Amino acid sequence: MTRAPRWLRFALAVLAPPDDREHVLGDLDEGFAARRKEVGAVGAHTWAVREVARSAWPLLTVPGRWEGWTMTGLIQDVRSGLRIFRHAPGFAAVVVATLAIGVGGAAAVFSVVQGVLLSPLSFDDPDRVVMMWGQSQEYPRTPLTVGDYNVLADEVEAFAHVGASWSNRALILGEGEAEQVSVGWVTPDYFDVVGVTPVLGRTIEALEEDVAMISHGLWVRRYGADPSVLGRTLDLSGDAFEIVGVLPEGEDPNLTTFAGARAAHEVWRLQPPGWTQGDDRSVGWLRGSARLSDGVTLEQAQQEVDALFAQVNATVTERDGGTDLQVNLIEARTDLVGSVSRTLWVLLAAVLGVLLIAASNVAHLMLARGEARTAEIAVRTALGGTRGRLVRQLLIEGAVLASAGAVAGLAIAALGVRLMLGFAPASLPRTSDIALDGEVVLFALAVTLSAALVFAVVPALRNSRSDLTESLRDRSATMDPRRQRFSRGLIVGEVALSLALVTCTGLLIRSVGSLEEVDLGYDRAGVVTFSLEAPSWGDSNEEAAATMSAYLDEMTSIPGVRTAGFTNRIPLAGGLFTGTFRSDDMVAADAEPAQAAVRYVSPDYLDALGTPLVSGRGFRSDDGTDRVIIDQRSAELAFPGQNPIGRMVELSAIGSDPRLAEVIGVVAATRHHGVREEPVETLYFPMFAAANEQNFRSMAVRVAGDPASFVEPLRQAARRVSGDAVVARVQTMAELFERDVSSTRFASLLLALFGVVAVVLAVVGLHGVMAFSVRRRAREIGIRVVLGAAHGTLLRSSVRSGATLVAIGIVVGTGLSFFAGRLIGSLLYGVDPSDLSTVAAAAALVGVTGLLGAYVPARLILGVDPAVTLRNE
Amino acid sequence: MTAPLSDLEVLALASVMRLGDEAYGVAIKNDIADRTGRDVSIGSLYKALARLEGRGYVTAFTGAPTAVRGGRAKKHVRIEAEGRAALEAALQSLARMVDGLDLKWKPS
Repeated sequence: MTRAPRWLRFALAVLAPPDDREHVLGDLDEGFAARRKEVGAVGAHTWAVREVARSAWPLLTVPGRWEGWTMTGLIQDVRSGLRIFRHAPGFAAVVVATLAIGVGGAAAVFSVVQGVLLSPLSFDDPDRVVMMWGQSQEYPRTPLTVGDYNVLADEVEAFAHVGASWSNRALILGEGEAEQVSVGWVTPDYFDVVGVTPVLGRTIEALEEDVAMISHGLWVRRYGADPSVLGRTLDLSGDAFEIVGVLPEGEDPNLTTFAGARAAHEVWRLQPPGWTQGDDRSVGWLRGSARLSDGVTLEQAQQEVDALFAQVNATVTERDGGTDLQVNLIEARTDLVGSVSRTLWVLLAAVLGVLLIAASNVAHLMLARGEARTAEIAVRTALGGTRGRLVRQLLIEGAVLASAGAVAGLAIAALGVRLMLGFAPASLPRTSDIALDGEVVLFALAVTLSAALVFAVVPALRNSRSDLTESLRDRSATMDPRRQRFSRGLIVGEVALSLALVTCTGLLIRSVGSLEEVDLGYDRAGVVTFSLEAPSWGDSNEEAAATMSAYLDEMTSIPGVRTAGFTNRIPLAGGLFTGTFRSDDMVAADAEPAQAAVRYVSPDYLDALGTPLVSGRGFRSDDGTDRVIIDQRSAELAFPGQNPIGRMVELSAIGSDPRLAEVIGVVAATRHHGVREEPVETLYFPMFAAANEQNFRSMAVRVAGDPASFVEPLRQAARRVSGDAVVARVQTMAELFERDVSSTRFASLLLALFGVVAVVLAVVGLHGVMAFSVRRRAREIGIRVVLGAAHGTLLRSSVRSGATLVAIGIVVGTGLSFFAGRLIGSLLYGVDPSDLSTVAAAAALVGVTGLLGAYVPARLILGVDPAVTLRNE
Repeated sequence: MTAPLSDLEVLALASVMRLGDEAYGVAIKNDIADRTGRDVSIGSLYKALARLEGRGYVTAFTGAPTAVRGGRAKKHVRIEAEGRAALEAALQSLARMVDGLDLKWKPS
């Protein structure tokens, strides 16, 4: 090759002023040829690269380079671009609508991604706040023990501040109606970790055990935003606190809870200092958080913590969570959104796929329009219009259409965001941060711009290259093969993308189906759950048990209520309470105790929940702590192949010494932590025997009819026992179930929508390309019909070309589907990510739809009398 | 009063004058390189020529395409009387600046 490399010539052609393009390119080639003779191809190549690079700036700044790009010139072009709406309203409407759908969908999903995943938490320097969770072979995520927390707080140089928190619920008593709030028990450094400044008053200082801070929400709701609230007394379940600070709106210093949700504390108080002192490692209960020192990266801090725990673990013989515990530092925001981030990214990827299809459809349309205007462009070139000027006009026409699409798209996005929030899963954190803000608008503009690049620039460059004589001479020639290849490539891509989307939708729909069928170990229909807070339960165990019975009696006397029971943890509502157990045989063999979840239950609780009794009996109100009910999994673990009824087990719950108890019943295994989570070994302790030791008292009430309609009667029943009793966190079991599967359902709903839109767009695109190519061949077809070709043959050959595209698209799309299936793997349940029947069904659906898209336009156009077609030519 | 010539413009004007009918892009570039050792990029040269043309010092016309240029035409440049005057003025001012200095710059 004696000419400079093509890409260099292209680069130079773009850089050079239009008038000098020919000359500059000639000079480059001449220089290249001379160098090649002198120093060989490699040297000439190097020379050319340098030459083009050095020429870039001078060429772009040649005097007069941008003449014609003046405002008047641009306005003129924009005006002529706007004319398209009058001259080709159908074309313009289709382009704008297609773009609006693509851009609108993408902007709507992006605004959710932006609000939930990308926007920073409302703390000072939030990127430096990390959560600390333990991880061992046995437990993927555990709270910290006091001993480990102190090691972290004292030893790690990479931390500027270390804090820990814990929550419970309490009643606000005194003036006004009693109200249940979530209370954050924090260490003094906690407020330095999150870095919030009170809007009123100050934060809590070390050793101030009788002061509290309140959230902005509580301040407005309960105190009418009265500034004199500082210094007033807050009665928290009978304990008096002085209010010393109010936090700014929307900046509650709440981090992630153990369950992965954001804590909802509205009152903050200090933990008694004694709680977090010492080196106890028997119970992990602290939610650790830390602020990184300036200049320290997360990786450095993690390395330091890892090294520290390698030392600590060498000295630890017993620890809740395992002696091999590591502490993971997780950025607070990541920790908070971890569970939904994959869903959202998948949705964003899917909606960008839709956008891609929309953009390539618009590209077809622009190409086809350019094709139709070849003659016009050729004439204009002949009359002296430069290529640059023509490209510019086509670009501006594209930009005008794109802007209209973007505006319409943002309107769709605004609607879409509202719709998505309506359907959003309850597990979606930070919904209040979701809005169509400046960044989303920027995103939409960027997306439109890139789409405009695809759909306007490529056809513009292609169209402007038209050769005058060729264009004018042979108007009926079939499409330029290069252009045709481009269009066909787009169609294949569209079909492939739609297939992948439809497959993912199918997989998700099947997952939702599998989740619905899961055996939970209880009956989720007809049960309402809530937490019951009373100002006083009584001092002794007997008094507390009597109080609980009083509530139970009052509630079960409501007509329609079947059974009701107390527990410390409602399934699917979060919360953890664990202990260990071993059978009499295991004690004799000195075997290690096994981990189990511990539930305190009142006699009718399991009945109310609908957990079947497998053998033995349920609790009676006089059963003491020497009786226990175990679930089937525990039975299999501790008494494999034996009858556990009447056998003894050694039990220990958190914070209590091991004791022996007789197994009186075995119940079905239940799914407590999530519908997808396998049941864990569970032990049921009689709640009446430990009635005054409970931190959490929740109830499950089984009713006949709609559970929601019983909430008010139940609340009144509770008030009849005590005027200050509060029924809070009301949720039916069905709602809890729904919340648990909601992110899967949400994703499948949106993906189904995207899938449908994608298929429709792909078919519209195919229709357009088919119609266009058949019309281009109209003369040829006409002649062939006149010469006696059978109509059927022509139809077949036309359809075949479309069908081939669909087939190739399906082959590519099948591969893409397997990839996409793996991408959404973690959202799936009970279905293989590369499930063949789903892929096959999706392929069949897309294939049949695609074939229709190929057949219909061919049929329509071939129906025209050949004489008419030929006369038109 | 128009702006004084830059040194690149001086070199380009001189080269255009010497090359006469053969003054076009790559030829001027090579001439400058041969005589001064200065490797001017194509882009800088075109920019300089465009400025000279804008001030009426040179006029450009399109020449015949040749095979070695990939069939592309040359942009020929011819110096005008104003260009010649500007070149002389530039050299005179330079000469006045160095007059009387103890410099051994004259080759002959």
